[in-house]
Amino acid sequence: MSEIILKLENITKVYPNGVVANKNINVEFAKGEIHSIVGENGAGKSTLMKIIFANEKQTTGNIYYKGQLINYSSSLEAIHNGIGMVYQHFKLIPSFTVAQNIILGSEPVSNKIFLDMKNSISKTQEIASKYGFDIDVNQKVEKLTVSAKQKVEILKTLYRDAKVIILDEPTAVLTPQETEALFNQLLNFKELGYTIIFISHKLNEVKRISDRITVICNGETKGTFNATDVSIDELTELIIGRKLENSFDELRKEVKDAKNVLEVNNLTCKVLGVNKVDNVNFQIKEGEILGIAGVQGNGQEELIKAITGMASSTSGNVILNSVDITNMKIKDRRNNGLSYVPEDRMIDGIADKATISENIISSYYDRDDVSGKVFMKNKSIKEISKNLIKRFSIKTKDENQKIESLSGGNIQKVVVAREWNTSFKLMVAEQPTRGIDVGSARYIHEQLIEMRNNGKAILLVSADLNEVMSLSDRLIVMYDGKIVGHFKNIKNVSENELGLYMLGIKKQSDEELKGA
Amino acid sequence: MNNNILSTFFSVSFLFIIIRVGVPLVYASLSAYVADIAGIPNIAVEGLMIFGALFGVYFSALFNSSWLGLLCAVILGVLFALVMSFFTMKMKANPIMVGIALNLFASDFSVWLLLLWTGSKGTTGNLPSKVLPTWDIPFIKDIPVIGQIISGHYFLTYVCVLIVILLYILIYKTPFGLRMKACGLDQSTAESVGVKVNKVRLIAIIISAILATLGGAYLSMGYLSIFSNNMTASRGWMGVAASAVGQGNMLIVLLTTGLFAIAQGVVNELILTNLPSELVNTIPYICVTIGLIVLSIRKYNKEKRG
Amino acid sequence: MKFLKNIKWTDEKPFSFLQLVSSIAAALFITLLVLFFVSANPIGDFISLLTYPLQGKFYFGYVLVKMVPLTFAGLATLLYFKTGFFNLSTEGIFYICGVVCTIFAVNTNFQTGNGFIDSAIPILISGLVGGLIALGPGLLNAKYKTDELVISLMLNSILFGIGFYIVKTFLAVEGVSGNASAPFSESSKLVNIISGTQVHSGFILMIIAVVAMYILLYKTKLGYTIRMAGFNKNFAKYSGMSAFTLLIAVHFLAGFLGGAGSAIELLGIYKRFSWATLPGLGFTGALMAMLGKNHPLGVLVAAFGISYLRASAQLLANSNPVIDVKLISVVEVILTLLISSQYFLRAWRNKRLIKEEISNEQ
Repeated sequence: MSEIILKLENITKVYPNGVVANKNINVEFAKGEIHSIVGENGAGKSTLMKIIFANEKQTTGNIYYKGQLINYSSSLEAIHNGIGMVYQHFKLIPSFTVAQNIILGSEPVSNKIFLDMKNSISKTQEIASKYGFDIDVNQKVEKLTVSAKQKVEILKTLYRDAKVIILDEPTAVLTPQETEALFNQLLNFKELGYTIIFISHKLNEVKRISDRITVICNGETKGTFNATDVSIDELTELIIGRKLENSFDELRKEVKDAKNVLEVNNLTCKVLGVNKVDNVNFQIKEGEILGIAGVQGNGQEELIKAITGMASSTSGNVILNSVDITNMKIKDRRNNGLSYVPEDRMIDGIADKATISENIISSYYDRDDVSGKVFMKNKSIKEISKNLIKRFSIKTKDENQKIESLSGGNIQKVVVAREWNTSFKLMVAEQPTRGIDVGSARYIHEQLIEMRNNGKAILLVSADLNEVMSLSDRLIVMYDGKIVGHFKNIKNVSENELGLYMLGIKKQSDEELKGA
Repeated sequence: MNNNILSTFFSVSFLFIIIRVGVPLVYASLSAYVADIAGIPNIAVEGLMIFGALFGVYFSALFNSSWLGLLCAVILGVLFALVMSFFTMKMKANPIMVGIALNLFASDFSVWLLLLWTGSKGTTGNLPSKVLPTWDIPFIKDIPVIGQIISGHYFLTYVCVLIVILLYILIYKTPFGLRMKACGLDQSTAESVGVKVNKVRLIAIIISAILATLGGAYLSMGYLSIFSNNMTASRGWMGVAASAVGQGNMLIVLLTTGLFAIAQGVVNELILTNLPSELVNTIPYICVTIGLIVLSIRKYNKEKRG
Repeated sequence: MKFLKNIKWTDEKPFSFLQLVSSIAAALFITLLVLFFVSANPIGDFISLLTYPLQGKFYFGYVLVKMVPLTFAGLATLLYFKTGFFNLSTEGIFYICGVVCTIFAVNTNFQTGNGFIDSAIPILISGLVGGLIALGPGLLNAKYKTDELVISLMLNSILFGIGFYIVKTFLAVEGVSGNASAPFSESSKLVNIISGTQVHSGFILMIIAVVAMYILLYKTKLGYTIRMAGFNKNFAKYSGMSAFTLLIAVHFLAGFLGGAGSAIELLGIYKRFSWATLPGLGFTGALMAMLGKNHPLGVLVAAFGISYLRASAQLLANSNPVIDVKLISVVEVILTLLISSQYFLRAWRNKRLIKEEISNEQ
């Protein structure tokens, strides 16, 4: 094997809140290899990367870089020594130009004092063309597509002469085609002698692109393998200890005499002059899960906001349960049978400093069993909370704990439990399992199927193609605010085929889309 | 009489007055602005001005030198800023709460010091304090009209002009300025490329404190020659408002400040008439209120129009 | 002593108690330091500062009386903070509502001679006016997201200008120094409830207000929405709570507390209206809410503590050249800074927690 550039020795990380994120981790990274770190969400991959990048300090253990024991005090030192990081959530300033974003922190200077913008532009443009990135460095970042933003992130590391580039879940936001392009780029870097550390939980990608793979489970390494020596099934077993069941088909039951629950007619939402949602039409029946696939930022968020009332629409209408809810207040929509698991539980879904029971009643706090005309019915609230905690197996000491003390998966269960506990007809589930452990995710998936079997309609939006494909009865694809594909039978469509729709390369005719 | 007032407003001396009353406002606005763009709101501008005004007077009397007085005031202002940044950045205290506490402290503690030093709670009238000199600009002072307007101001007025220029260069033309803006727009992004956010903010807060202190010293060592209780009269808050209106754009901050200065100048003229002075005094505050309302309505409409 | 040993200081509640006690100790220590610089007898002065109000019934009564405006301002600001607003208009509202109260309390045309009715009317009207004024910044914030903090401060100066104008032009009487109104009618004044002190029935009203605020926040539907919105505005919106209703209710109630508090203060211990400056209760109210950890009972305790020191300083000021009520600002600022510091003693706590965790692991 070629020379070892980076070596982790017995890394352990304990957070002040007592969480042990990494336990005695040993990994070696070679020069000129693509080395993947795989593990489920919360396994400790990101913490480990932060430690390498000196964003976090290990509690015990050593890191050797180019044979030297290193102890960087900040990521600045890591950057100076040639370690670069591309975060999953981009670290870019939207109102700055590409060039400004790239040079920030290591700016070219003229006359020792002044910012040399001319030099910055030519330098960054030069690097971009050298590595074959087609990008205008004078463009403001806010105007770029997701994959272009990722390119800017990679350019940032190249500009800083990184030799080791860490990519944290880089394909999570890309279409299969964009992923392909990224992979070619990475293989190119590998040829040039760069070390790529690739973090992902998409095993087929990992298997394809990597030279070696390290598996992390519960903060511990389960070993490093040559990609050619290990199968996806074996990896899966190492990661979660059991085989992943991907289909919910056995659980599905047919719902008879299903009526339409949601109808979206010619819905358009204009945001800052752009039609983010452009004349969208679809319906959902009782006992049906409709999935929406698409690259992030193609109007899914705005569509959900218009349906749930978090933002208003420009034209068209939304009919829920035979009532036009287009311009209704959120409360009235909820009373009319809407429930909603929001995309980001920490932003919309919970009040982190409030208790579990305060969180678990919020969307029906004025219901008769929760409050009277003036006062809250604390006894009844306690009972409701206890029941829901039991029903949804939420792991907590009791209902009076602050919700922020729970794990991500359990917080999400509180959100789902609350939304389940309303007399809803339609549940809008937006990224329902993002960033939570496999066990909780599986549990939430089963709950969604059960709700469906009980005749509820479910609108599922997820960036995880796997999730939408396995859960949905029907699937629509959004591109640039429009519905471009509708699939009644998901079995007949491959991930790659969907990718073409998600990228806007393929589009069904209006005739085909009519039944959506 | 109306005619009289109108003609006052178009006179040369009125423009001179606007500069005179505008300078402390510019100091206050820039003080708030520098902190704002680095992402560490400083709402203690008012308190810093009070201390600047008081310490300038006290130490100039103590050392018998206006320059040493000014220097001491600035040093104490910087110390104050260090305390502020320690609590907001190291101890993660809410910056608004810290600002509120420091403002209250400045306004109360200054009265106690006043009492201690002079035996009165009103003014430093009995302290032999010094004022900073005025400056007649050679040649320019002899140019009619322009000379009358821009020459003969206090020393700190010209410092103010210099500061505006230097600050503009710092923010728009240097790497540090780019980093400051990055810290204000997205802390974690700035951190991720190795910008030392706390250091940048500390520097911003120190600059902010120096500016506020100079603004305060201008009031007690130029504009007036004593410190009097409550002499800053919410000028610090007007600065905070101007910075809010400017939304990170220095030119708009300065323009807004200019409008506030005109309002203040109008007050200075109207106060001499027999209109009720209590009501006249509220004009600048009303202007600031209107300014903030107009800004927010414009923002609202912009968002709504989409 | 054994009991002390069993307390785990890293647990949430004991830890915040520890924080509080250390903050108070630090604040008092720094006050002592200041006294060392200026006083001939620093330790003696320090001790009298801490004990003076205990040396006589009247003195202690003075502490209780001084609590009243602090508590009302604290409760009003607490409501804002709980809902997530930064609004300091209590200051201006206190002034203008004092003027409003005076209009009713000096004019016998508005009075019945019945003490209860005659004090209730100015208090309620002042509260109402305060509530309506407070709606202004609230509505602007609700509709256009106008910066409420700065607007409220500007409003204070404007209200002061208007109030002072009214006093000077319409209410001032001759024969008293400064601009002061005619005396309040006897029947409108609040009755004394503890003889030998200045403690008046307003003290009881204050206790009622604290209890009412506690019930409002922790037992009612409105209180639930206030707290949830304060924790997370998006969450309240998402849950279907009406931001607008909430905002109106909170601002009106806060303004009402400020206005009523002002009238209660005036009718409780003043003979006539003579305020020539803003009372400074906007900032102090924020301090009370902060020191009281955003809890109504906490506000009461904070108001007592600060009032104790302020009253003591004020009483001592007559005989001691270096002590003045304004000196207490040292205690106030240190306390606020330390208590609002999330990381105060946190490093110590984290070290202990990590140690515990590692020893548990092994």
